[in-house]
Amino acid sequence: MPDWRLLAAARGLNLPEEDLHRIEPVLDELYAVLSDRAARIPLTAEPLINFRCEVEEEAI
Amino acid sequence: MTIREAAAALRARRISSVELTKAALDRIARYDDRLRAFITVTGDEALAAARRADQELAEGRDRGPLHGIPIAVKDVFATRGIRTTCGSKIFADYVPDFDAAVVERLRAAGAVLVGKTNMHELAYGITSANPHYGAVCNPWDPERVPGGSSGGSGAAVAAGMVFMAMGSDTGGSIRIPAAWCGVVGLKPTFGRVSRYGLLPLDFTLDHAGPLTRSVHDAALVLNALAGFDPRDDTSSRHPVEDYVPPEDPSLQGIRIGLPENFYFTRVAPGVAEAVQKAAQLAEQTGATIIPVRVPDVAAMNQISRIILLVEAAAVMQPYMERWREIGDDVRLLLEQGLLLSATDYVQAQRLRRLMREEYRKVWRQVHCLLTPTMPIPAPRRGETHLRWEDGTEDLRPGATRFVRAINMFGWPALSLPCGLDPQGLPLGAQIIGPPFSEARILRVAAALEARLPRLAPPAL
Repeated sequence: MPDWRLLAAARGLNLPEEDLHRIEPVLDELYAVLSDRAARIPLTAEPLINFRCEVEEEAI
Repeated sequence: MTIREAAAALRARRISSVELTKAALDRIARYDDRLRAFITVTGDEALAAARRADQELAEGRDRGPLHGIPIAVKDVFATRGIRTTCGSKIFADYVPDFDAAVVERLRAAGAVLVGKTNMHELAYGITSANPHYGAVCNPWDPERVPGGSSGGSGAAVAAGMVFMAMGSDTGGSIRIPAAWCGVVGLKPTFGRVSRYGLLPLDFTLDHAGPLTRSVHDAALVLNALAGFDPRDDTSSRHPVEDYVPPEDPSLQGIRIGLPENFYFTRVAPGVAEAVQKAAQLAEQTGATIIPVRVPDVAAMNQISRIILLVEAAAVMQPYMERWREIGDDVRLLLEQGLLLSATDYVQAQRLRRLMREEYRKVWRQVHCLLTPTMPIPAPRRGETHLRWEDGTEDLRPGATRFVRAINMFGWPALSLPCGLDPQGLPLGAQIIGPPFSEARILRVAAALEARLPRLAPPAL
């Protein structure tokens, strides 16, 4: 799990201690899901950044 | 009264737009100290617009069903010459010199803008407990939150202040207040309604849509809003339909998926029963109810939250020197977004594609899904957790479990009032469909609305 305090310091964010205390467990939880899933992403999977909805061709 | 009823009364000369607008302004003046649904009320401009609307109708120039109807928009939509705060102190003095696309379209349709509704700060939360413009109260119980982030819009429509109020929805922010305030909330397909002039929270998750007192009204508003806009890169050229459903529509031939997993676990008393009752009514109207299994929506919610955290932090980074002026809850979310890496963001976007591939398979089996909108009715102000027999959840991720994930895929969804819980608080049923299936969703919703007991307005 990343050291969020270290990251904040390294980025010069100067986040209040109270905020960091509240942020850490939330980010830990999210990161656990992300890292578990990210480890299994197929090599060719592309990000969905240019997002536009299209009709579902296979929809009934 | 609904938009349809008011429109008929206007054309029969039983009422004028000026009278409707005065009634709206009177109701706002009478109840808004208590509800705090509005940030800005545009009384003089509204009355001038109403006089023009009456004049046009008298001259035979009819702009359609929204002509002369008092409406409001969430204070996240740019309005020319009217301050647009986004519910934040940071934008307290921002007066745009242009109208958002939805405001343009509503004005062109003859709607009368009576004001800008209160909201969760920066549209980033679900309670609408705004630290700068007041905590919006739920008209059903002022001790409870109206939902958010479009809480003022939900409260204003439920309290009969306006016939329709626009909301925005990044992770449920139209459907949540709709469910908790007992009104209809429609989140159209991503790209169906232009986001031009919608102050962004998240570039790839934000949607604009109406909160109304009836399904028919939501369809009328979508008719006015839908269409391509070259000023919004994500706007779709997909053909626009007439979204208004027929009277008392049959659901013959429509396959409605009722999830067997995820959507009916950890729900408050009355929630599952109300939605299952709606499913029975759909079946009596000709629909086929199909039990379906959905993929890991919990993981999808987490990935959606990561995308939101990063994009919202990027939106607000230029204002970082003023973040101390933002309420604690929202500032903490922005700070979380700064700590996630570019790699995390790209991985989340790759997972977004994979998750869409996984979830979209459901559309090979059914035309739409029927789920609860929210796992609980409106919570009391200050409540921070959902408590279950097997544990607790933080309010924000817990309450948004059923509405958040689909924003990643841009799918349309509607929240329909489907009854009251044992405490007498409104509950919502959510109808989700594949892209551009708004007409079918509205048809299903209209069929259910015709058979469900109509909620009496909340006593104010």
